[in-house]
Amino acid sequence: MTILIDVFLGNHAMVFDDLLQIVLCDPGLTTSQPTPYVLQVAYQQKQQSVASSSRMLSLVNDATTILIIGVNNTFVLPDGNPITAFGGGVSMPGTLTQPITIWVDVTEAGGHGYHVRDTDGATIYLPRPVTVYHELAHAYHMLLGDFPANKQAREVQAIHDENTFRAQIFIPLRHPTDHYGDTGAPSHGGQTFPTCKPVYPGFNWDCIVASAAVGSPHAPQVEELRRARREYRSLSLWATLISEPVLDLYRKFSPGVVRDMNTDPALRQAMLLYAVQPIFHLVQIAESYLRAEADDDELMAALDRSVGEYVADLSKAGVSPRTLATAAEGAAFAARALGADRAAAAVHASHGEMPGDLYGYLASTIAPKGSEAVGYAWAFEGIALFLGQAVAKGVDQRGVTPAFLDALGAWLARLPIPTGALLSIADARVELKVFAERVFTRPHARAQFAQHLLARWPAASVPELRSLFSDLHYLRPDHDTTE
Amino acid sequence: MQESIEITDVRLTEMAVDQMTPVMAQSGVSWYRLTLTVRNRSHEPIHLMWDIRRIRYDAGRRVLVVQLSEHDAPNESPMVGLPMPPRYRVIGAREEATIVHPLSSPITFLETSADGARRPRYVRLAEDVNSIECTVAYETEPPPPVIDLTARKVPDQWRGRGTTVTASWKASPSRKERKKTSE
Repeated sequence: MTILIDVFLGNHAMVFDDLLQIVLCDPGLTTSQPTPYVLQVAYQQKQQSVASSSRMLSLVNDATTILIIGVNNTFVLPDGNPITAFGGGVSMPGTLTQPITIWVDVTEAGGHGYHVRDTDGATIYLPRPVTVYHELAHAYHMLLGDFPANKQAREVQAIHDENTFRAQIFIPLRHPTDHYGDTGAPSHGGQTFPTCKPVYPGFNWDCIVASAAVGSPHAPQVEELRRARREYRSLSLWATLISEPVLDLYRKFSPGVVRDMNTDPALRQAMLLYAVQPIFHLVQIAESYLRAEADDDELMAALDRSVGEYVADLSKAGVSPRTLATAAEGAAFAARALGADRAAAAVHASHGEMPGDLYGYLASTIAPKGSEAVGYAWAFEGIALFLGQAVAKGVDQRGVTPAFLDALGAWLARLPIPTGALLSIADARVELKVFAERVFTRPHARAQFAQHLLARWPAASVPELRSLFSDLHYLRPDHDTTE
Repeated sequence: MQESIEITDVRLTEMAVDQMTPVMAQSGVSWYRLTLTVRNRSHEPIHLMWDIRRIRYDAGRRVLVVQLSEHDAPNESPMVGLPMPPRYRVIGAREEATIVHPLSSPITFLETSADGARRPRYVRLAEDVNSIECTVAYETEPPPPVIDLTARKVPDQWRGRGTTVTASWKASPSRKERKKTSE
């Protein structure tokens, strides 16, 4: 079939970048996404062929499937070994039901790097694209039928191919038979790889809008958004299935938004003040709410502090409550435009007047890029809720009220379930247990989420799901489950 | 019989951002530092396996088993390649050494169901782990200096090598102070 790249663990951009290095950035290497779980690699050579790109062409056009999974350095393989024990890359043969699988440590030992020995016994860098090429060499020989039975001979064969790639890109060759490897800086040559284009800046690539708005990928707000994204995305199988369409859509529209921000300072400023900062505070508020035992004064004070910090920042930037109200209205309108009222609500496609046009502009950028905009409708709704509270705070010093908490809880429970998310009843018990322990710890929030999910669940297994909700204390057995 | 080495302390501490590499800091996951203090009680130098070679999570006991040893390695690995040889460090007679390894939270394990399907399992140190059981292998003979792939016999694991000692870290109720509590 081809080469597939895992999307589930969220490291697909880095794996694709490694494959691009192997074909020397030939623009003929592309991907499509046939399922929510994987990217499928296609390759039509558009540059002059070299050994490594010919190898890629053979693999992509073979009938056998190879799955490449990017993981971090503490990933534990099926045999109990951490991936670091294999020098950051390892393969497993295919079976009747499973493809040939390659795991690659995209963090390169948590940023320390891996090294191997050269022919003089000095240690040299083992760059990630070289690791991927080494593992693909194992796969290639499996498919070719000359794969040795003996593990040492397999390594000698793959190191030979690895050295062909190393010679092609003019980096030191590895010792052909010394199977030594370790983490940390090498004794010779440093840890640079002759990239054919600027690599994606580590994990930052998918917070590019926030990074561009704040001015740095390392700003605390950006780090916090990145943390929240990783944490909730990797919470469980369902969390990944729910969040991936949203992130996939982000990858499609975000480069265009960044481009516009780079040419329009007013748009960039509006993104910072009315999108990035509110999202940062909204995450704080949502987490405080979900962690709290009850809607008590302590919780309301904590939430009020967060809203107050945002209002103070706006005040320092000279933003009036009236301007803020315009942004809040825009967010609420764009939420409707991307959500259920999609046909009825037409959005402003220009970014002419900020902040009034901000969310209309964003909605018009997001909508054409994919059908799974429901996640953004939900996000905009949350932002509108937050901005509305900030307006109340800014205008008449009104603090967080129980009504705001109710609205926040109801919004959180309406977690968007994309139509393409393949949530299965077989996974429901494990998944709902995780959601109850980690997200919907409050009985009220659990009940709201249960109703929300039941309303979207395939009719055939609704009784089973309802029974699970009862077992796991989401709903009382006799609870009315109409949303 | 008294072992030649003793793990005198096991600690787990959350890493601050300035203690991380940029890649770790940007990864979005939490990072902890697992620190083992090992004392050589014998009168001769010993060679201590320095790398984490196996990690297992016992969900029933909520225990993370971290092994700087391959004594529990399976006979056959389904993996294509050979693992790299583990690092060793020498600890002089009557001397002490500190081994530090970063652990991410969550740690991602790959579970395989009876029908062969694989899915990731995320284990979070703060929420899912009550105790970390650490095992270290040591020996008095030095390990082979070079793994020559043309040699007639190349070890693909270090299963039989060395003697092991074990100690545990247990989460305190507050989970703020994390120290060794049992051996």
